[in-house]
Amino acid sequence: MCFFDTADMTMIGMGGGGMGPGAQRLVELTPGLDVPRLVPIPPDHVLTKSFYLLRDFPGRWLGGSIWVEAPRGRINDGVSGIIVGSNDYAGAWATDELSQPLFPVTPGGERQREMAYRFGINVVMYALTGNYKSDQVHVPAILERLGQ
Amino acid sequence: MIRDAYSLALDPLLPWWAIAMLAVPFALLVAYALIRRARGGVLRLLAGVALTAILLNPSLVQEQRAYQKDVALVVVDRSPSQTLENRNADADATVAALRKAAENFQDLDLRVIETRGGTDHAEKGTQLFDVTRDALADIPQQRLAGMVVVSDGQVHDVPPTARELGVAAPVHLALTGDPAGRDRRMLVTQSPTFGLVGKTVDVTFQVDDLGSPAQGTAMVVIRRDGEQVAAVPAPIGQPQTVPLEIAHGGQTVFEIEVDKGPAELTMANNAAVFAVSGVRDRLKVLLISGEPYPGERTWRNLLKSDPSVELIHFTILRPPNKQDATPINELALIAFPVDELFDIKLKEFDLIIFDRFQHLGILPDEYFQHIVEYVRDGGAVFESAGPSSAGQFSLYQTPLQQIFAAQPTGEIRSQGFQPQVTPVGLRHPVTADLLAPGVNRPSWGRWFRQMPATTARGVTVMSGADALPLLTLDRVGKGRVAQLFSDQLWLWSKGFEGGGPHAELIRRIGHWLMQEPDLEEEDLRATVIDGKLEIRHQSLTAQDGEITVTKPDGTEVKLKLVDDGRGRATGSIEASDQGLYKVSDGTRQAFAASGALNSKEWADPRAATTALKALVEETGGGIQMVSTAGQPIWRRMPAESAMTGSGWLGLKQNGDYTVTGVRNTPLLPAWAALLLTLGLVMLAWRRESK
Repeated sequence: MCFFDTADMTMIGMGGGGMGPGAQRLVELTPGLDVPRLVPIPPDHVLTKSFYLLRDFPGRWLGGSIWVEAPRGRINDGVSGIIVGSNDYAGAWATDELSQPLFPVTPGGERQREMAYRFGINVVMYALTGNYKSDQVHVPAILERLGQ
Repeated sequence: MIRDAYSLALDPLLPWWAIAMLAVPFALLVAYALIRRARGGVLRLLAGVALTAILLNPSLVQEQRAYQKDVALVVVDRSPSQTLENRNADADATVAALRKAAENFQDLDLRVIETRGGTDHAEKGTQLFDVTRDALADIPQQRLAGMVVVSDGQVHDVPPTARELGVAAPVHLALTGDPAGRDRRMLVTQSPTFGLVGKTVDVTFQVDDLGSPAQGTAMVVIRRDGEQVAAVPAPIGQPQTVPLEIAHGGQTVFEIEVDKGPAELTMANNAAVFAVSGVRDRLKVLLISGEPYPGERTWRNLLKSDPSVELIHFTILRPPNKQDATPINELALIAFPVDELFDIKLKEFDLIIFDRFQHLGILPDEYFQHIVEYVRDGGAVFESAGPSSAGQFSLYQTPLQQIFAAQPTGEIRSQGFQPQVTPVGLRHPVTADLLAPGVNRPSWGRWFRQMPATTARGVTVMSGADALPLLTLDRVGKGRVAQLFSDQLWLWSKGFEGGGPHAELIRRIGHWLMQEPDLEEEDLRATVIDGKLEIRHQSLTAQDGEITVTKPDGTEVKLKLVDDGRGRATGSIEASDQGLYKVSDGTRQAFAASGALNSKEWADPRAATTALKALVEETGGGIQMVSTAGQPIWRRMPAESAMTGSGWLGLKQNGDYTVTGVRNTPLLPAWAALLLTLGLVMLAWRRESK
């Protein structure tokens, strides 16, 4: 799984439309890759619940959209191999030797930084467990059915 | 035989219209003269007739004819049903009587053909008319004196009309066997080819006492793979449905047999044999991942892409010893439903997989004891060990250790090694086909972590670093256990160093654990394919064993199997008989059903005229019951007359010939014509002149 952080959210405006310099650089870097069709992340995507429950995905910035692969049936269990975000997540996670954050986050302060960490953990969990959490909604029904 | 025939032929010297133009005015003149009673009228008439006769030029044609002998085609049915009663002997007597009669008919040839009535009697019954058509093609239609069918009348390819067969002569039936014969038969009217394992399938059958009124009951015995499972009374003449349980996956051979009836022509139709393929319902697999790690998705992808598996997956995302202050409503975590899984629903699972599981107080010992009992009772556990298996929270520190054939030493080896298939693994169905035939050194990628273990029981089919056990399989009670002492199988799925057959390996381990019959390590199989009985003997120990094949008629054949070095020994023999084949290696038995469920040949073995009656009647032939009423008298009858009567059957006299020569003799030579005509004209003239 590849996570691209174009970190150019501020340069393409709050709407998230168009393509910032980071996204353009990404396109330049990946001409030889067979990148599947990407779609904006649906609101019930596993990334919102792979460990923490998340409503949005802030980094240093807030509001940039996340792009994932359109699910392709049973291939790879429908797990996206590519995640593209633009909120400068590494900037929010970065600390100095004293574990002090290197960059301020806007607009939300330390709560937003906590959310940025949680998003990072969700991405790792998504990479390791795939769509496990989306199965979970079916488990009660399956258990109910067993033994009938 | 050569005889001559005579006929009169006209060969006019002028065209007919020219003759008419001359003859008609002359006839009118003569008629006028006759009416007027003129003298010499009669003589003039005679002269005119003579002249006309000359013009018509009559001649006598003498044909030299070679008369052809007629041919009678005798078709003798030698199908299996002819072996009943004295049918074959009676057929012999009929043919002998016909030959004797034919000696007295100088103008008749007999052509006798005997036929087994086709090769597939079970499927098609008796096929007499294929060979009959071939024989008829060699006989000119106009020479066929008749066709005599010597048969018990159980013929299954009778043409609908004589025209379709191309026969314009009487077809006679010399019926062998007693039309008043009686027989009991078993007819399976409905049998499924597939059934769910553990469930029942419905089979409908009917016992008939052919030739007797339908009354009373008969005792029906049902055997499954050679062992009696039921004995039920069945009312005669009524369909009866019984549920039969499918006990295992793969082929189950059922045999339904009815006891001897009050009268029997044959016992061949008192039993029916059929095979039902047992299929498993979706296999329910419980996967418990002890922690998120790169291999977890390999397991998920494999199990979720297997259409025969229903996966229930739990991951210990946060063990109980790791708590933080995050409010629970911000976490996507649910409680592990241990009561539900390991107490209430445990028996519903076909397989439980522990992947890098460590018990951190998650499960009380009581639940592990449940799992032990579940396995002994026929369940399956697959342990994929990780570093935690070597530690104090290892599954091996729980009651589960009772069912594990191998125990980790507590050491963790982190070094590259190439997994190997052990010599016994090369014979084990789970691992035998991971390497291509003849290849004993794998070319797949390395793994980098192994938990050394010591084996007490079981079969170690794969080994890792320093030939330490890597994959150990064992049977515990009725259940099965597999242990894999590495957590790096996923490297194969990522194509590291070329990857490896991870999907095949996991699928085979899983299906072996769930007792898929195709993966049994000791097994004897027999199937009938395209008329051949194919035998496959699977064993972990090399074998040059001989096996015994018992054919449906009870005869035994010894067969030597050829071992392929990968656990399988195979052999095959012809299986042309219909019914149940038993194969035994001394300890194991296998069964195979061959041929049609209800043999058409034996469906009704009674002698009967029904099938051939229409054809016989259409051609004006007759039927003689040679077994009960004796041989008929054979007669040569002119065409157009009756071909049968009381106690006799007729063979048509066609009188066919070929013309070998023709001689033409003119009846009015030129000199005679001249004299006659001149004489008559002169007489008429003289008469007139008086």
